[in-house]
Amino acid sequence: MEPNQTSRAELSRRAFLGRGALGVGAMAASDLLGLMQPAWAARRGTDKPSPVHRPRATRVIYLALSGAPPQHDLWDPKPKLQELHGTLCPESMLEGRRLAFIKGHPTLLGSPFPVNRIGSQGMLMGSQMPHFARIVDKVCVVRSLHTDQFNHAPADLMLYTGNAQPGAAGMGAWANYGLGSLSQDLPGFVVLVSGGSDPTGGKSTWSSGYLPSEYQGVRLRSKGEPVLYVTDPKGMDRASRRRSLDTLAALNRRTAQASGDPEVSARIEQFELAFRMQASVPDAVDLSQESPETLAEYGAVPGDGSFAGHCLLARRLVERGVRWVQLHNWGWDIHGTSTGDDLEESFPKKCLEVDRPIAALLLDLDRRGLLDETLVVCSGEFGRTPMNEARGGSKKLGRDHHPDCFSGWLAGAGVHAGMIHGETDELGYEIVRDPVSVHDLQATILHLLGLDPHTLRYPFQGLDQRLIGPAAGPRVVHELFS
Amino acid sequence: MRSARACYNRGVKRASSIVFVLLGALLAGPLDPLLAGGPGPDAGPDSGPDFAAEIRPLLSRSCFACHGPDEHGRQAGLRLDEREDAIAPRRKGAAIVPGDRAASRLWIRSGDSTDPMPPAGEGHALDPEERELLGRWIDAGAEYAPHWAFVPPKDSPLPSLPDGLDPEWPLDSLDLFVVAKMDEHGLAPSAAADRWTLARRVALDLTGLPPTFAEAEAFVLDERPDAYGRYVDALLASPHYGERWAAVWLDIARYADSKGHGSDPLREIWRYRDWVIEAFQRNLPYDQFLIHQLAGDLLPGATLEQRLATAFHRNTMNNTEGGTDDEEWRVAAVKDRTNTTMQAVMGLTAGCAACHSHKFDPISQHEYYSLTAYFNQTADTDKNDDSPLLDTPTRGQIEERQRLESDLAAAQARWAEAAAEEQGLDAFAASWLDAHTAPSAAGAKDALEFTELRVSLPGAARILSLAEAVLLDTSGGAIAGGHASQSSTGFAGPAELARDGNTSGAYTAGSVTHTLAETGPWWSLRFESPVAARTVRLHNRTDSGLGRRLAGALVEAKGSDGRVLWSAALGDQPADTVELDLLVDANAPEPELLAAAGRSSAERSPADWKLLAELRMAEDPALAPARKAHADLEQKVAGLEIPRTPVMVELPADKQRTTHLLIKGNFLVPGDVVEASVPAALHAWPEGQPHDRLGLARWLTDPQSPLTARVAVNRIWARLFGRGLVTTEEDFGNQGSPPTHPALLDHLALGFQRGGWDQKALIRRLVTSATYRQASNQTPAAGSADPGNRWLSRGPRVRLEAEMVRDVALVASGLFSPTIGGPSIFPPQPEGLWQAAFNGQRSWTESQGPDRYRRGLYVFLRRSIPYPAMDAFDVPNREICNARRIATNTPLQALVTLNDPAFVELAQGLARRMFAAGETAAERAAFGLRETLVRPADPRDVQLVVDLVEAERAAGRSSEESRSLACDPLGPLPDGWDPADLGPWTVAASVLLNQDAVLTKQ
Repeated sequence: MEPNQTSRAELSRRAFLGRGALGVGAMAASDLLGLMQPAWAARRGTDKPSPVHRPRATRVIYLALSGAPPQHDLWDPKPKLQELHGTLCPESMLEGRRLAFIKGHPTLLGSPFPVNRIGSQGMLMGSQMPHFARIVDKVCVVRSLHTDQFNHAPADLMLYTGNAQPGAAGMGAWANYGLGSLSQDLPGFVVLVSGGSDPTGGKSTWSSGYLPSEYQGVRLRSKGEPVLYVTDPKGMDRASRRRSLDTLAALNRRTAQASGDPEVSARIEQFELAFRMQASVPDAVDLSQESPETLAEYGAVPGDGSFAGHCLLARRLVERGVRWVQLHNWGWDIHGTSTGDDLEESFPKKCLEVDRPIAALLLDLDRRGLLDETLVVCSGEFGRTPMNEARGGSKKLGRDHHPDCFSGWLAGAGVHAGMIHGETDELGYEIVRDPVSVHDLQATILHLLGLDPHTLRYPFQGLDQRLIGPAAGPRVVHELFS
Repeated sequence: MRSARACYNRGVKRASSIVFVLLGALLAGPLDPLLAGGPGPDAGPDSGPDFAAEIRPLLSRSCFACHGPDEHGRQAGLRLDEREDAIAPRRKGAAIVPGDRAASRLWIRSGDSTDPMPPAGEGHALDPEERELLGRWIDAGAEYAPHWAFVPPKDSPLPSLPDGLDPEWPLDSLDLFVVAKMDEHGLAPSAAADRWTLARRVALDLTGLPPTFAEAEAFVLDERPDAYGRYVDALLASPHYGERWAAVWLDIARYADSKGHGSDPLREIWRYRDWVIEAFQRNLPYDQFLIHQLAGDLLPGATLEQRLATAFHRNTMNNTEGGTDDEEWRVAAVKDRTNTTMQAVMGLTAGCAACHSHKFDPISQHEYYSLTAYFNQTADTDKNDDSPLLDTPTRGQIEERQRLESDLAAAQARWAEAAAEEQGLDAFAASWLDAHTAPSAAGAKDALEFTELRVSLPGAARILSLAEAVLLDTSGGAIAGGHASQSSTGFAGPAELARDGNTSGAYTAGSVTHTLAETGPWWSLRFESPVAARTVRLHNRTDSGLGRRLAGALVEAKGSDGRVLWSAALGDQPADTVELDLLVDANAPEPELLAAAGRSSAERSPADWKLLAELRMAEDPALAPARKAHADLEQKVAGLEIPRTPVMVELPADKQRTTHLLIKGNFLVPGDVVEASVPAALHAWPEGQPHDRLGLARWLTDPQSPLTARVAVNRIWARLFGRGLVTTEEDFGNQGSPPTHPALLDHLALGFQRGGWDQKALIRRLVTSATYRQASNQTPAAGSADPGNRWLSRGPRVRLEAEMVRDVALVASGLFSPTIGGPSIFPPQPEGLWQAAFNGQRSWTESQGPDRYRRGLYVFLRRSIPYPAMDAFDVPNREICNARRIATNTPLQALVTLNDPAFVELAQGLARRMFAAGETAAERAAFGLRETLVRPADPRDVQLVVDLVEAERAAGRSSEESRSLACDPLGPLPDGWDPADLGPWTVAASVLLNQDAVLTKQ
């Protein structure tokens, strides 16, 4: 009996290793089918997804500017709006609209900042991110993104999980579910949060949702342990941890023999992985290993938990095979209710915080040959109005939430460099050409990863759940590809 | 035990026949109805494939999205979910021509390589085996059958015992159903689990806690024939039974201690959690359990407990983010209540029909919104304060309040009695008269000295709100300090808000106090020692015209003896700011009083005596102790901190809402008006029931319901056996998995229903069955023949649920606090986790003392920032109803149980117990093993642990390191204990707590 069981356990262990670091559920692989799929799937054999075409991207870095940066002051400047600054907005802009905070008849808010022509194509861009000029020839700006949510939390969930209600799976979880992890000792989906606050969508923004929880985004923390509980208790060194895990494995192997349950071996392996993570995670996050030149280029200071440090960390993580790195930076919610969130004081500070590191990241990836297969995406969760919010009579300048159009950009991994896709009207209020919904963006990202967004699905609660939602309509935006 | 062993032997003898049967199954190929969910297990080759089990799932998966129940998504006007439509002649021929696959468009198009159905890139294509299956079904006549779950459960004859099985093996009729299926699949039952294993397994299942070694040993040594039944009964009677099963229901109820969405503010609703615990503990029948939660408030003469139960549907999320439309989120909550009800009770995913008619199950969008109409009539409107709230005192608080109120009445009586004593009253009247008729003392003071400022509103059903109460001294400076309190607090308006320096009268500024509506509400500001003030300035509430609520308020300044030194009454139209001069005695004696005091005692009428006695109560310094006693009691009543729980409150008939179908689920785009009603495909509405929530609850628990009992039975089965008879516990519809044991499911469901919905009896029945008592060890044959144990040929072996992971370690540590109920607890968690946008509620105040060591069930659950240990072990975030947890196995779990300070502390506790339990290393190791595994230690295991401890001792750790290891965070060792001993034992204890056999129910 025993040889047989050993081989089963061994088989399970190998099956596990084949699936990568965090990739085994508590159920035996054969059982996963029964638990997660309707009966017919069990009979058909595995329904595990796999790449359907050659991927252009093997990993993704998503730079999430949480709170929604004002596109009129960044990537979609509007000279006409500046010209009409301070005048009442046309009535037509208010008809049938719901606005989050604006009351009464607002005035138009032209960007208070100069507009520049940058890059080899002379693209019109806001001036508050001067380093963007260094990378603009590598990115594809999309000016026609739109969503159907205009409050932060639902919009975060809509963009990052495909559904405005909590409970769906994050894009990074989908990517790992579809492709598996590239790393033997790091999680496949890592989240970094800066800016003093979580994104409003909270942890649901990087949840595994209905997917098994092994695909959940693992948040690397800036203060304290980078991964919760990765540090051994005080007084315990690595040798002691090794000895204790050896004893644990010996006890568990006896259980494996007695029970014949292959899951015991899977558990032994999880403890071994945890042991490896205890070394690999602190190593990955140790920015002091970087040269002073690199640190200076990013503007990063080891250990400060800043967005700059996170950009550098993102490069280190994708180098080590992390499939999806998601950076959230809070503070872009430029309402103009006070100096803490206004366009003239707060916004330039936010630009200063992210501009240099983003450029450094893209150039660094490029230099190291990683940009060819790393997709970098940058956006907020929705757009902002061309009207001044003036909440409660505030004298500060600021813009209200606006779901109908916003801007973002993609770079690397076969994305058309130095291009602008989509167009909004002269006030930047509505899309006039080539709209790209957040579902389209998701479909496009999955496609770049080699997955078919329309058939990548997971049965849950009676529906084949998809990142791009159940409805027909979302499309891969092939025009963005080189 | 004897019969089980006999049966095990049989199982071994049958090994060769197992191989034979298995081969047979394989040869039968894909057509073998391995998963027959339909009524006819004997479907022969001539009758074609079984529609319910084999065909409908294929059509549902590949066709219904465009050719199903959803009239809007339907393509080409064709529906395949109804036979009449499917066989109707069409231009190019009928989709299905019964008996002739070659003439059927369904057959042709599904195999058409140029123009296939489903179209390339959409939906699941049929593979050749599946297509062949469809073809055979068409050839056999293409008979449809209703989906099994919509057909009421029916009795089937008990299966006969398979040949060769020990007739003593079955212990319950359910075992016959199980073993018949095993036999069908060439499997035989496993031997019974040994008693140690069984003792731990069933204790975990019934109470969520492991037994102590002594309890398990007593059972092991019990030679009475009914020893197991007695052991089970003791567990069912345990006060922890309710906690265990409450934890199961709380996932379904989406219970959480916060409101969800962006800022995710905290919510006080733990009284509901305690209601669930008590409901299980007292074994409230399942139908009542549902009725109370869905509509307890509508029951005639609803009790406090029944109203509290309706907090079930106030566990919906509440969006407090700025700029949100409350109506949008109120509607979201109504939908969630509809979805949760259908999912929890009926196992149906009705939510799909919110945006369009259900694509797979017979729930049209119109029917969906007709269902929401039942939930669309409650008073809650996504207000930030979660109103309406109900005062829900605990039993202890009710007793305490009764005691205080009776004390208060007695104190009042004593006070009044003392005041009325004739001689003293006469003397008081004389001196009072003197004081008020004599010319006022020369050199009048420029300030009034007092210790309490009090504002009260006479009359019933009044609400007292103050923006700010300011005391100014002679130079006009504000006097700080004092302790603010009030008669009750509602709507997030604590008494302190009138002393926060913010004089804004706008409620939304968060600076206005707020009592509940009550008789004689009051607000009070007390100082330790007297203050000298010249002026009182009251800032009234200014929004919504609510400042008039302060009309007729009585403002008093009292001395340390409780004497009223000064008072003033506000008029009927209080201004936004009222300034009162404390030196102007607004309370100049009334003529009646002066007259009464002026009369001789003989002349005074009873009314005079009464007036004077009341005056004396308020003013006589001699009565100060009585006044103070009364005031102190009043403060105690106010200080009870009665929890206030959001509950369902039905709108009055004239305020009820009209319910609309919402186009694409959008609350801004209402469609047709709908009336409350239930989907036509389900059972009939019980006659005479009103179409309100109570009627709906009665309909759901009607014996005619095809699903209610099945879903409940399946849920309990799944918790005990590791998987449901219907694996997709959350979906009994067309997309769910069919039952592995349909006849057994019906047998149990009918028994449950007929037996009065007795959950405890059902649980007892399941855990005393022979099926449950099997050993969980896998033989290689059974392992490969049935890796998921679908056919139940062995006992359950599953990872512990998250709460149990904590509880098992708690018990082993010796630190476990068994207290049941109360506010949620805050065990150690890393600093800084509670960081969320827009929100001030960021500090996690770690519990100290016994609260730190309470069960996982009580750990504070914030939706957006779950407690890491619970999160790692798959507790859902409770945003929506969750019927099933998928158990995962990740390295993050290992990090929790190895390094989370909460677990480190428990390992330290266990280490100390081990150290104290013996003299030798072997004794101590054996103790630790038996306490964690709840069975006598195996000498080989003991040796492994002893070796580890010796290696750790030899590791050359500094004494400071050893101390950290053994004491941080648990605290100093007992006197005379050496950290050099306890450090290594702590390492060992942590290993023991991390054993697979500890983290697993087996």
